[in-house]
Amino acid sequence: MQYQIELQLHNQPAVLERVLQVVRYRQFHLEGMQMQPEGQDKLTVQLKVSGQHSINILTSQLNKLYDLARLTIQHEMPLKATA
Amino acid sequence: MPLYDAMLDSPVSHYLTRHEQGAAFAAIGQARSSNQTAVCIGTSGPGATNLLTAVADAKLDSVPLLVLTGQVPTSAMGSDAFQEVDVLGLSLSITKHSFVVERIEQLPEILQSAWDLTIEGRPGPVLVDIPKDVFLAELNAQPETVSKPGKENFNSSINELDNNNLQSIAIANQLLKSSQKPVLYVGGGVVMGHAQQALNEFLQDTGMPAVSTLKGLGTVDKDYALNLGMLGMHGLPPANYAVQEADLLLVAGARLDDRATGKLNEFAPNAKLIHIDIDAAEIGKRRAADAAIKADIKQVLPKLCREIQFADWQARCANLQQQYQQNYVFSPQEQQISGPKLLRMLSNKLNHSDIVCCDVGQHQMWVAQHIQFSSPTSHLSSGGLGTMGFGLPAAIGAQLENPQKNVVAVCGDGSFMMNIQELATLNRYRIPVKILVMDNQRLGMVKQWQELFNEERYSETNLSDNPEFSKVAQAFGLEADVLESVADVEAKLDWFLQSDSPSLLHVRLSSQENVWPIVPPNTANHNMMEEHHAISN
Repeated sequence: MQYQIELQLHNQPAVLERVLQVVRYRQFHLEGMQMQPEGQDKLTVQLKVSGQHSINILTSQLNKLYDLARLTIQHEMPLKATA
Repeated sequence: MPLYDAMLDSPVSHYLTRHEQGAAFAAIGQARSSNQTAVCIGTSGPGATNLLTAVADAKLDSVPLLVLTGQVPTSAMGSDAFQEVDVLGLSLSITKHSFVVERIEQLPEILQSAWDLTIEGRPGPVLVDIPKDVFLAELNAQPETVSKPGKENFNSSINELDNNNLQSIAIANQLLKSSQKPVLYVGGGVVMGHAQQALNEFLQDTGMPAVSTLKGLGTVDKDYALNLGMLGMHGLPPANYAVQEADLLLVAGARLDDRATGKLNEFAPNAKLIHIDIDAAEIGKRRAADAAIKADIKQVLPKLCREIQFADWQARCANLQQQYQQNYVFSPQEQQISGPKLLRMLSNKLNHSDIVCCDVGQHQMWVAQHIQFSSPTSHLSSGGLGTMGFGLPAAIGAQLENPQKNVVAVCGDGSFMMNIQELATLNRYRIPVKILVMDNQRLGMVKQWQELFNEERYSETNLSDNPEFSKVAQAFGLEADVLESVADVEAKLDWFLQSDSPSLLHVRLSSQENVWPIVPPNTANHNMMEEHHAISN
């Protein structure tokens, strides 16, 4: 399955690395990423990820990040078959 | 240097170990034996990297540890300066969180946040990296308030059960009422959540059979009739059979790890699952829960149903206990010292609150199987990471925290060599840890696997060139002796336990003795092997 997730983060040292480390370690693939600073210390990140496991495996771990303020799963769709 | 200079005039008690890994494991020993946060410090570069194995150990075993690392000055950071390493980057996957302090004004609040975070929810290590110029600066201005992220849509209070959890508890109570064969599966989270008493009250009220993980050992009252002991790869047959036959598992503060479950898709095949854990990420991670309770276990246990009946199942479990009872007493004609029998005798001589730390390998499993514990805070064993070299430095920290108790480090000969330099720390502070080196001249657990599962192709597991450990210990200023005959076991254990000094007893064991039972890898837990054949029930 492929998922689009929106994260609102506190813009602290290594915050993006923390997010990407969790995605990699929990066996999801990063398909796309957009990042937008918001004000002085916030960051909105949209991630497109794919993986074989339940998305809860990833989101429950991301939810534990100290600098994460909000996580929303925006879209969930089957992976496109390759030709 | 500025931190150590300040310590000269500080009331903080500081203990210098001979390797930073020793310091972090000693802090783990202090934290695990007290269920409270402990602190370790390392300097920049190699000092920081030397801490990291133990920090990873603390992460996997949920140990509240505050780790302080020195860093090069902020002006030099990012320039590959002497003894500069990106410790923040290295820490990402092995800490709950890590901070870098950029200005002295941030330091008070970051330290407080880091300390609080070590024990908030599921405990774990938190690292604070502090550049040298921050150490040298004086705090003249008002401390800064560091923005602490608030989480939205997140239940931050562990003192109240939210509606989702109350609904899950209602489902759990239905499952309990309809169960004919329930088993309580006890993990290390129960004691970390200060719920040992609540759990034993639940057991007394229900009479439910109970099994424990490695880290849960000691939680269930040892006199509780249906305390079936440890489950898993080296678990006891009654525990493994009961779990495989159960129709309901009530999992409390445990993460269903692979060494406990065996082959996952054949684990407890007929059981529904109630899973209680403070860390929501553990629920459903390895097996879906029929009732998922993401909450503080102390709040949950009093709300679980007590009026449940399963007399036939209790009789079945009692029968399993009787069927697999074994005798572990030395007989007069025995020549060779047996590891399990030695540890049974040691267990009988210890007070109920004494502490045993161990390394990793065969002796670690013998400790889990044969020493009786009254609390997981008395059994310090590297569970998740399985770090050889854990035992001696963990015992140092546990003894400093518990000066009135006997603290015994049960070490394998392979593991002992991995932090042997901490004998100097024992001597420096005259810390009366007792070290029992169980020497079979092998990396025994690997040898066991090579023997059983790799056609006896022994590769790099022979340690017959070990040093004479008693002489090494004496050179470090310890009292030491060698134990090599069954006739001397009792007297030498007594000498060892009664000593007021740091002391070492070097026990010569056969290289042939293995840990039994064993569940072969990728095999269901009911397929245990005993010494000569598979056992059946």
